[in-house]
Amino acid sequence: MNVMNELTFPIAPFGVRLGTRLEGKGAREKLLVTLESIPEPGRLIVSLDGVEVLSGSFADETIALSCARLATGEYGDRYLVVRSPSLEIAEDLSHKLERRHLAMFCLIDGRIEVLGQLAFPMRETLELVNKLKETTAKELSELLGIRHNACLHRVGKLTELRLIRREEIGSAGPHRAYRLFSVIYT
Amino acid sequence: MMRLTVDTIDQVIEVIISKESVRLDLTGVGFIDPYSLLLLVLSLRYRQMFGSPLAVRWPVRKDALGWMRAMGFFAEIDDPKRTWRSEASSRSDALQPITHITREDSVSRLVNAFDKRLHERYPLTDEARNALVKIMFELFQNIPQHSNATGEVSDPYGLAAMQDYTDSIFLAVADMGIGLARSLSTREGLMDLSDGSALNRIVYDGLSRFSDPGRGGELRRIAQLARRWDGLLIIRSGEALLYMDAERGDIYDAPYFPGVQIGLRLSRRVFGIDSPMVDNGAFL
Repeated sequence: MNVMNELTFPIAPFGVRLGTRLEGKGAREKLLVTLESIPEPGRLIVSLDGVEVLSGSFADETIALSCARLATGEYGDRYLVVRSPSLEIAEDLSHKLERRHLAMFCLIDGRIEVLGQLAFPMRETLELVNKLKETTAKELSELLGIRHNACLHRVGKLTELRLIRREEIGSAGPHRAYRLFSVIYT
Repeated sequence: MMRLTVDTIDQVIEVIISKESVRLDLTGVGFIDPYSLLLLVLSLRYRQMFGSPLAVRWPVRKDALGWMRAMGFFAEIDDPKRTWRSEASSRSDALQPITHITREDSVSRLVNAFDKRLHERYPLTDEARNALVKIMFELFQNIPQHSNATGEVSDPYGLAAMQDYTDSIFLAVADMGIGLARSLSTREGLMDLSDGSALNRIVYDGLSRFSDPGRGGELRRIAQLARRWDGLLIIRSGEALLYMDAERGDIYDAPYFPGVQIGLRLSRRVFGIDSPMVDNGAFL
């Protein structure tokens, strides 16, 4: 069953106009403490509600760098998701994620966008995982009409980017078998 | 009437920083843009640093002189060590007087002060206002972050000013720090770039002195915005000058001057004020 613990980290208390790396560094320290406090599996919603300006420097220092550390596995089975009142506010964050070859979910008024860099095949796979909420690599490869190896590659990359959850459930022939979960629809 | 703009200010700089020059005649000047005003302040200070006297004849036009005074020009020349406070000018035609940038923890306050001035004068669209605030954040924090990256400048600081015209809004930011090439030289593999190459790599490739991929790219983003908005962007560093407008973006040779000086002129249409961007002469 795909159940996830969740906390929200509001950015607005740091200011409605967020611009410098110095301020971003202070915010990141608090964000990572909050992230670590969530029991695994956990999801931290970084809320941009109330923020008018999010500069690239602040966004990189606070969110993109946290995302980069998350991708190293340092924070275990935890995930970061951005919630923004508009795509424009998160535009510079997306640019910074792109430079870092990272990607994040962004919830905007009920719809889901992916910020940063994610190639079309990855997006296609991610959308399917979100649609199914819970699946296996085997099922995915069949639905996508791609080879199992190629599907494992995509799933591995999406897991590394912390865009899906993956649990090993044994082996299927020469391959390991995984159960895959959406980190958005839980 | 002489106009001090990006097209003419380098001639004045050459006179100021030449040890052979003993006088500078600005009597005929009737227009100075903020970029040229900041370069004038810095070059006169640069001259003061090597202690050679220079007799300057100031503009005779009262409106020109009054605007320079309202922008804080003479206070800067007379007392460069003074502490800047965010003070509104009593003159309605000086939008944002010369402001000192020294520390990163004061950048937010300065950006808000600039934005407040602009907001008091114009009913800006949120989109344009926020974009300009982002630009100011990046340009202002570049000074404490990069202008003395090597630690070799004894008194690092930057200046910023902003002025509005009938057709446009002009933001200028300038420092006398180590410049772009020297900043990039602190990164392995970028030791020997010329000023022009450094400017090119930063503006077009989004390079920074950090190998961390999240760092850098801000000037490239600003250049893209300026282009998208039919603006004019000038970036001067050492012996190189980038001149970018909607049609072209070229790097030219310029007489050497330390640090980085930036001018950004945006059409008032961007701010929701419908008037064409034309170079329409004096406003002073």
